[in-house]
Amino acid sequence: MMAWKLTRRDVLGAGALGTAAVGLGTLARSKPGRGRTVTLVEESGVPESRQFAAALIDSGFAGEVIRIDQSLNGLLHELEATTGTIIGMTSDPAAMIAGQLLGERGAHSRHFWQHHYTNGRWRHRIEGGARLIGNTTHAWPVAIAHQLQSAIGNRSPQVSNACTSGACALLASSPGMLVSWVYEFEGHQS
Amino acid sequence: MSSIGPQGVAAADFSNALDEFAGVVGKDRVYVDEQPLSSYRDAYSPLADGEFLPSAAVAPDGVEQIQKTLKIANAYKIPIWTIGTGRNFAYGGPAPRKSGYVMLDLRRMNRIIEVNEKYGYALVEPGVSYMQLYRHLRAIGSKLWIDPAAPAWGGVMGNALEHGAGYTPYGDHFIMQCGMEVVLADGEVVRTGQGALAGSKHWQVTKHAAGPQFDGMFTQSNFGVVTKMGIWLMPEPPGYKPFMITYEREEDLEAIFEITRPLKVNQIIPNAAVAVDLLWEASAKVTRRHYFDGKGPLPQSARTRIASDLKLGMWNYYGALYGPPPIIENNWKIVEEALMSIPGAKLYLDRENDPAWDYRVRLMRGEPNMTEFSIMNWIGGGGHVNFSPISAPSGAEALAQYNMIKRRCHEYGFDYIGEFLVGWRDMHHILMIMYDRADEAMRTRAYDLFGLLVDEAAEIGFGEYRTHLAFMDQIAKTYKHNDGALWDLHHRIKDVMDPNGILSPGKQGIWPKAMRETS
Repeated sequence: MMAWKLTRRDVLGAGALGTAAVGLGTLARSKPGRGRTVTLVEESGVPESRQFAAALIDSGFAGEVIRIDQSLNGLLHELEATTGTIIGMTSDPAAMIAGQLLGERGAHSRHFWQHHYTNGRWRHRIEGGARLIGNTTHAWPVAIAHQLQSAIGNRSPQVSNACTSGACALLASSPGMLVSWVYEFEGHQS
Repeated sequence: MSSIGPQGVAAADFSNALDEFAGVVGKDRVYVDEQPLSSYRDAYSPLADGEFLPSAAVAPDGVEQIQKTLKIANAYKIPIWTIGTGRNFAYGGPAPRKSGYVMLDLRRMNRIIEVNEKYGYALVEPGVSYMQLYRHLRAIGSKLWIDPAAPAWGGVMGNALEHGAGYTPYGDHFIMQCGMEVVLADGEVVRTGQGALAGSKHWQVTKHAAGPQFDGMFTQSNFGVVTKMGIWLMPEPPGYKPFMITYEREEDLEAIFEITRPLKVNQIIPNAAVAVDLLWEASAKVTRRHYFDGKGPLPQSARTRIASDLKLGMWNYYGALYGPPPIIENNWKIVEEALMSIPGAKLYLDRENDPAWDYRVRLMRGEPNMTEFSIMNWIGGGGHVNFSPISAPSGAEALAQYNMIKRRCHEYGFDYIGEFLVGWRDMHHILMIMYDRADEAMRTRAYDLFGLLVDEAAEIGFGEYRTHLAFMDQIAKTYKHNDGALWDLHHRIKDVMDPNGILSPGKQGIWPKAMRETS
């Protein structure tokens, strides 16, 4: 449960390697904190979520992966015991449920980026540089994974930004509105 | 620390009260910072951000701590807002009726006190969720079912107290409630029914004991804090036969419920029979963007394509039969003959790769799940508020409501997304107004549409059975027989039972005397 003296201190500090720029071909090497558990939530029925998760798994960033199906029941079962950093790109309802469950256990929301498909393009509301994200169409979840990974390790405040992709089709099982999010528990170094 | 304080309470008094609350529940169970308090927001509010925010929260873990907390609240006249699990986001979630209230968060009180296999009931505390009770029953090898509301994280007690419904034959949750323990505003503890009899072993079995029955008074009200509640659980039946029937035309709704009424009143279909509209059903599988990316309601051509692609009807009817297989098969002949008599009806006893079928089948056999949240993807942005008029199970009334509400939805630029659910003799109509939270204009239109529907439904004789925080006062005012005598009675009771007006002021439009003039 939540604590009386929860304050907003930056837990991402010592040991975190901020990276200034990321590209699709190079993986950022930032970590949220030495020895800190990183749990990744993949909504397996959502293609963008799978792309995002694969990028973070390939980079060795995520220590644990929670895969949830369309019932979203996995959020109730699996988020109960999480500690450290929890990260995901999911549909908006899944993000809301995760936020409620993690927030009431005392986790802090660190990043909340939105990706919205409209008029044949993806519109992204993110933090940090937007050019790379805007230049991608179907690979944008990979670019977001890298940028979010970088943002987690970055101690300085990030500027809110928005961009729009080129014209692209919406994948068949995409919800068309996604959120990439990061929650962190303080004082639970594993 | 939150910058919000309870209205009319001096800052120094509030600070003292918080210290005293901490002395009762522990400092780590009093929440005042922005981060923990943010979890009490209405995540899908139809109002602008910044409405309905608490000033603090107190989380007791038992009756004694509640009594002491209420004593402090009375001393400082601090309004508190009670939640069990606070999960119903179609009606406001955990948020308080007014900003500045102190949350009385009972989520730590999540003990399953008793499961009685022989008589089929459980005795639970306010924080017990459907998923928790379901897991517990499976863990102990129980053969009892629960009757969950659609989202698995909902509270067993809270849903019954809010007159909620489920999808097994035990779907009217307040009817299935039996026996309460309540802490009154002055701290006195009362048990209803046979719970008041020292040594009674049948508190959760007998609904009607000597004297007036008070249980209903503590539902959708602010007269006490319910701390224990009995709930009847259905024994696992020897047979279960779910079915779905699709109907091709919107106007079939009238015939559907004329046929359903005798099947329900005579309990041939024992569970809640539900007719779900095309888009509610489709939204569990696809999003609106896959068919139409423009503004306004979905064109008819797109609706036709969705129905064809997904093998759905304009109405999609779910029900189930339960019991020994010979009885099921006998009753099925009656049900099939009646419901398949509508031209174009198509019967499904199974559907592959259909998440909507899958979650309905689970719900009708008491398996909680979270699938219904997936339908929020229809628009994206997650906002939704449920408009829920009640009426008799009449085909003509169903069609009249549908036509009126659909027309208004379209005028305001929304798709009609709804379902009709028939209990024993009642019909619930649930309209889900979906909007993108990030779209301010759309959110405002959703709010305006809701307010209009409340008044128009009342004019033709339909009230709502529950509602979002923002509309409680408006709906209370539609119950205006004899110059509002019913709500006058609520207020007279409120003034006697809670003279300081500390318990959930404004809940269901029931305000304490001091706040009635300003509400």
